[in-house]
Amino acid sequence: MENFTLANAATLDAALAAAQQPDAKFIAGGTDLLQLMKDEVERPQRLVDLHGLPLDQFSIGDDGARIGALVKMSDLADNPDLRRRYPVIAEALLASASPQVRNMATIGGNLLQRTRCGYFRDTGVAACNKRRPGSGCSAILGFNRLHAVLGGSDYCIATHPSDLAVALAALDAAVEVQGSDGVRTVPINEFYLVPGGTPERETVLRPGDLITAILVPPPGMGERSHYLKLRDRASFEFALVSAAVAIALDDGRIRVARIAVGGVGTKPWRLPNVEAALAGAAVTPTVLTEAAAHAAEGARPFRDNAFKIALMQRAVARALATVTA
Amino acid sequence: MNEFEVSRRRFIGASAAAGGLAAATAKTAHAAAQTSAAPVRTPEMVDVTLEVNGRRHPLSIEPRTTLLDALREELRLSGTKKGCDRGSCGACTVHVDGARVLSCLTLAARCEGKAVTTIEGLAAEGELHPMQAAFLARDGLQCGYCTPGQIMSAIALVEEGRAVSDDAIREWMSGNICRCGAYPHILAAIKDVAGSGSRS
Amino acid sequence: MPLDTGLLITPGRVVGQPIDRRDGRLKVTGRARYAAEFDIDNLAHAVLVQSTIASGEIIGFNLADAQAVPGVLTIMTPDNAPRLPQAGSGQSGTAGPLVAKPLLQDKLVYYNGQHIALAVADTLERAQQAAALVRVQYREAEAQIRMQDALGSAYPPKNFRNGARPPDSRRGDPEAALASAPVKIDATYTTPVEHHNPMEPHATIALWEGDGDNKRLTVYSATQGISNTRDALAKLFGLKPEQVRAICPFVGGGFGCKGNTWPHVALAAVAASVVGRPVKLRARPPADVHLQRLPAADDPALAAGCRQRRPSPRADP
Repeated sequence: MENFTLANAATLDAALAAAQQPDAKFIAGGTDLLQLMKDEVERPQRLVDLHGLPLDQFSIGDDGARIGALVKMSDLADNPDLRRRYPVIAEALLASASPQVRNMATIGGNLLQRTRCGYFRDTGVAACNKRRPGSGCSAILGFNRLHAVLGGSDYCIATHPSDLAVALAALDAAVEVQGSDGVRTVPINEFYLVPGGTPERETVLRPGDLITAILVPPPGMGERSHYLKLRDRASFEFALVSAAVAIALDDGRIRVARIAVGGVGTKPWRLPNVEAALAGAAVTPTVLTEAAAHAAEGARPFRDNAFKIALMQRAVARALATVTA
Repeated sequence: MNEFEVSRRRFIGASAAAGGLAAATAKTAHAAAQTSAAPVRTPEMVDVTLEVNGRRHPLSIEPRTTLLDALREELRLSGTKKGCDRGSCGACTVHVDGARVLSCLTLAARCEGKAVTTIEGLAAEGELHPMQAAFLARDGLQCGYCTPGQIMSAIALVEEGRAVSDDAIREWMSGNICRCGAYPHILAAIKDVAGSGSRS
Repeated sequence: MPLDTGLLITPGRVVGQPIDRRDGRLKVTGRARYAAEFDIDNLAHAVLVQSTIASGEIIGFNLADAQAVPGVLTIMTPDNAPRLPQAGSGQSGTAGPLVAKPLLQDKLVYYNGQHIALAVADTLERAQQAAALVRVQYREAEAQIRMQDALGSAYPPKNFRNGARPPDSRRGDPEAALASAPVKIDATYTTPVEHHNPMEPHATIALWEGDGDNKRLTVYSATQGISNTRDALAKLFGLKPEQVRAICPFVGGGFGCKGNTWPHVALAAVAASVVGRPVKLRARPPADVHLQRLPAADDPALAAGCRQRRPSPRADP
């Protein structure tokens, strides 16, 4: 790890000013950033310590939820109002990482964690367009079992790792960002970028921008939500495939269906074709399975990850069955 | 000195020249100094006071020093173990302000003003915390390297109220791995401490 | 506490009774010391630099940035590492085999992750930083990593098990038995590569004392065999066994990977001699996998991954 200066930010303005310096990065929980720094993938010269900023409060009410970016994952997951109104978020949080990590990691940091692609995280591997633009992609012809089948390009197929982001994508949450030009709100489904020709750009954040809060609309009338995570180990493991679903029924027919999948995309992936197939439909196993089949549209398998396509379809169907039971 | 203590015979005075090794960059003779040579001081170093197990320790360290390395290398508290050093194994688990966290992913300089508790701080000399006693009684260990982290995590788990069932205990201990496979006995030890309220 | 032989002799006193393991109290209190944890004065820290190619040779090092890190004591490479005449002696008879390569004696690269240099500094963080700043220029060769591809040049080994028995064995008449068997099964089974992965990474603290006939080497090393370690190091450094001491009251798991005396143990000792201070060397977990030469992985993905050098469309002119 390189040396760096560590500066506390006493106020939000001080944090934003400090971040304008070159080679400066924010540090909140630090659970991903420090791994990346130990592996020499990230080499900031300055760290701006966010702890102490008044961004660690959250409120959940009838008009929705506002979650400060510095709220710890464990604190949010334990909240009874969250579990009651937004089970998909609570389940996604509890399926993430480990208890120790959740005690340290923040909501904002979780959304900005970087891919677990082994080629990205190994600086001994020369070809990684995300880490070294223009150098190539080792995963496309290499070991790609954990990589994306949706949203990839010829430059990068790295999977987005966050469970929380998938849950928020299904709920149409928004990211509140503060930068040098003030405050703005970005819908989560516009927040992340697919790699395209520039995999080093992962979000719409500009240098010096700071996530200050997550805004979640109130659940629809009767809406129930659920997060299903499938992985190689029972716990403390990233998703092979995950599904976040939010469903509201009227007389046994689907009024609202919002579905996002994780573990399969270069960003959290909404499934509008599945949602359209469910609109107004009666809930039967056949309907759910046939609708879920649309998830595979546009999927591009690679040598080791083709299994994810069928697994994704079944995961969506199962999550829908669970939430409509 | 118990049977596992190691006597360190020292041959005072004689130098350890390279001898049979043709060292191109041989330094001067190994001085049998009784005190450590302090690391070269650099401008990046900061003064941090760490409160560990109720005692305050003023340190001069670089900001990049992790809490884990500060405990093991600066304070010579080697009870907290370095396994993966990347947050995956849990061997480095300590309590900071009462919460279980990973010291390998914590910067020591950010711990100013916080109370750090390590395995060494659980009980007075000669005594055992109930969780330590339970691990011993249930043989929840073999090589012992994951054990301090397991115990720190287990204590927090019980205090968090997570020990409601066997499956819940397993899930809430998932941040601590044990290559020797002592999991069933670890589970039994935690249930002993959590009390008979646990359901299978 | 001293062993109570009365416990062992009296029937029912031990067998079948719940007995706390003797080391249990030390381990649950964090007082059991493992290799990297011995309190040694004047300690320096060593960090391995490992190759990022799977086959080829090193044609140059650029050490300028590494050597500029404050507190660096030396950067050891094949260019300046002490010559070890006993290196390459391979099997050492009754002592566990010392894997002689790589001990920084030449610049050939045999596998990804091979030790190619060692950074030694006065703190762990500085040694890690210096190691990361070592720049290496390679001439890369095509890596042969699948056994199938090399079978054409296979040969029966001349010295198998120190000549204790021939490499091939034969009993009865297998061809006739196969021809007349009512049921024949001809299948190929493969097993995946696995790694021992103990919780405690490999670690060694080495320190030298005395000189001439009084020269002594002490290593606190994570090993499953202190006698093997002592004998292997004595042979490597041309010392009498009684001049070497290997100390390891507790090992944090080995499962076989700490049975041999691997090169990093000797490298710690060499570094200690070079810098004139005790040296602690600890492997980082990704490095752990590369401390031993693994058998060729029968994994086409590895082959493809290693060969992937094709630039993406963006990099093409």
